[in-house]
Amino acid sequence: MKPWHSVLLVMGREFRARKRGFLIVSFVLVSLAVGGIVIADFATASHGRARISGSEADQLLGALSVILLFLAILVTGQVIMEGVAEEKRSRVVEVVLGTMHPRHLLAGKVTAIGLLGFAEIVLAVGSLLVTADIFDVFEVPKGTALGLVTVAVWFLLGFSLYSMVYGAAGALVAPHENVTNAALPINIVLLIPYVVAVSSVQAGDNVLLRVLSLVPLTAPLSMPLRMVRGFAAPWEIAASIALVIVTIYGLTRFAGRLYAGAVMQGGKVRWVQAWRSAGDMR
Amino acid sequence: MLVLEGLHKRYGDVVALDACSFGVGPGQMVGFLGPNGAGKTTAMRSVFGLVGLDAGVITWNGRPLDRGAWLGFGYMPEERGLYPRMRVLEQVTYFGRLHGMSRSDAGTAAGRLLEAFGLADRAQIRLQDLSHGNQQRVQLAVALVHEPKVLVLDEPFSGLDPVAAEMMAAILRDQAAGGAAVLFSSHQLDVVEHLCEDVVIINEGRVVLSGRVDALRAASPHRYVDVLLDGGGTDWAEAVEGAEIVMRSGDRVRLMVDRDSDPAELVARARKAGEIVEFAFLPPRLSEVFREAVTR
Repeated sequence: MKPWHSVLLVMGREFRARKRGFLIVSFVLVSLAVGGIVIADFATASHGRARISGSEADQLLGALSVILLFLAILVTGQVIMEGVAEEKRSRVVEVVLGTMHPRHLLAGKVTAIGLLGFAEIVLAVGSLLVTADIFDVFEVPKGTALGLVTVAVWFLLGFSLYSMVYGAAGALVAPHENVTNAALPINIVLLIPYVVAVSSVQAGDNVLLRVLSLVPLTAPLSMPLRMVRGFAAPWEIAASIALVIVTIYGLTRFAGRLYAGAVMQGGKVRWVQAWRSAGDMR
Repeated sequence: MLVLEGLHKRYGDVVALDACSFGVGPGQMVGFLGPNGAGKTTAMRSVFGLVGLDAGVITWNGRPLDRGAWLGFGYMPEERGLYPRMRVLEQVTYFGRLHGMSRSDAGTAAGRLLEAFGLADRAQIRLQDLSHGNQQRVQLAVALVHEPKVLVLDEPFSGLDPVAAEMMAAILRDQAAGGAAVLFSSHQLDVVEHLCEDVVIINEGRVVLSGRVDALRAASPHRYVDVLLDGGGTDWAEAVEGAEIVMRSGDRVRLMVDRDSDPAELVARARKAGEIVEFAFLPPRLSEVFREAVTR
């Protein structure tokens, strides 16, 4: 049996365990999207279709991209943390780790939750666009396709960057403890580029946004805005993505080791402690 | 044959394992005994690579352990745990598949085990809705579903009533009879002394005694004498030379004497003090063998 087989089995279990929640959330998201459009259609029935174009459309797209990415990375991150903490809390993790390396357990969990999160974004955005098209409520702005691709790519990058860190943080939590506290430092790191990006939507490109878009940890929420608005030079995009990928590699190894060192320990674990005891594992 | 050789492990200043060595052969059922904190859990976790050893090797049939070997092992950790919201059959099947079984094989084996454990009608219930005892059985099923060649159970008897403990012991004996190497730990030496033939006794990370239970008990230089007299008190025992009173309460007394002492003589002394209701001349209990070994 190969390691990827274990990863697939873990993913399969995650899918089965989360099927119900996924269906409920999807139903809510799609209802909101479709309902919103239908209501908008009634409200604007006499005015004909709304047209958004030019810089207004770019601003709207930019803002929506950042908000969508922020929520997607944040929410999937919390789900991962809670999943990891639950496995530690129920102590099932020791039985599972008798059959596979911690790295593979975390990888399977993270991939499954990431795919479900991605599917939910696609469903929500897709149903929104399709309904808008059917009811002809607004003309889909020109840059939408590019915006969607940008969001998809940066979700993938941002999620890969943060998911393992959220996973490691979940393993540090004591059984009785809420995961919210442990998530706080990571959420704050995410919040910085979010706030800067959202406040730059109208102001346009600026030095701070530019710097953040090149720093790997803040790039996933600042570079997409610059790309959608057309602020980013090609070399900046390339450099930003390259730096993020290098960081993903390093951070995945770092977080994987923290996870391995922390998940088998009973109580609350400090970062340093987890790092040291990880040298302990096979 | 599962062999643990020269295991060393320190946690800061605490020595968990100190040159710990022993082996378990196929078809053998070995009790791994010792007081709390003796290093049992550390040793058992290290079998699954869950503890990084400072030194020492663990081999299976002469080869160092790898993933392939682990998949053929079954493990029941001290801190029991399963997925609370997963259904029983699905859960056991899942762990079978994690050990490399196909979906259908795992499903069949899981169904058969649940049947054998009297859980067939609970197969579709979520684990968290089962009673504590039934959750324990599912935990055991998870360790057994892939017909392991090596079975490692950390404190399988803790929290079980005598009937459930005997049932657990019967299942483990079955596994050993089927050719598995069975290793289980316990800190209650007297509870398990009649449940297994072979024991390894560990204290402060070192193996202090190992071998057949009967041989270990017989090899002790001491014998224990239990006497209950009908209203005779226990003062008579003080006069027996070379005997040490281990316990006295009411008319009951437990003496430690030399192995070569003559039981007949002791019977005679006791009879002078009162009518004998009970008299036993026995080798030490396992816990007494242990105490003798560590205080030597």
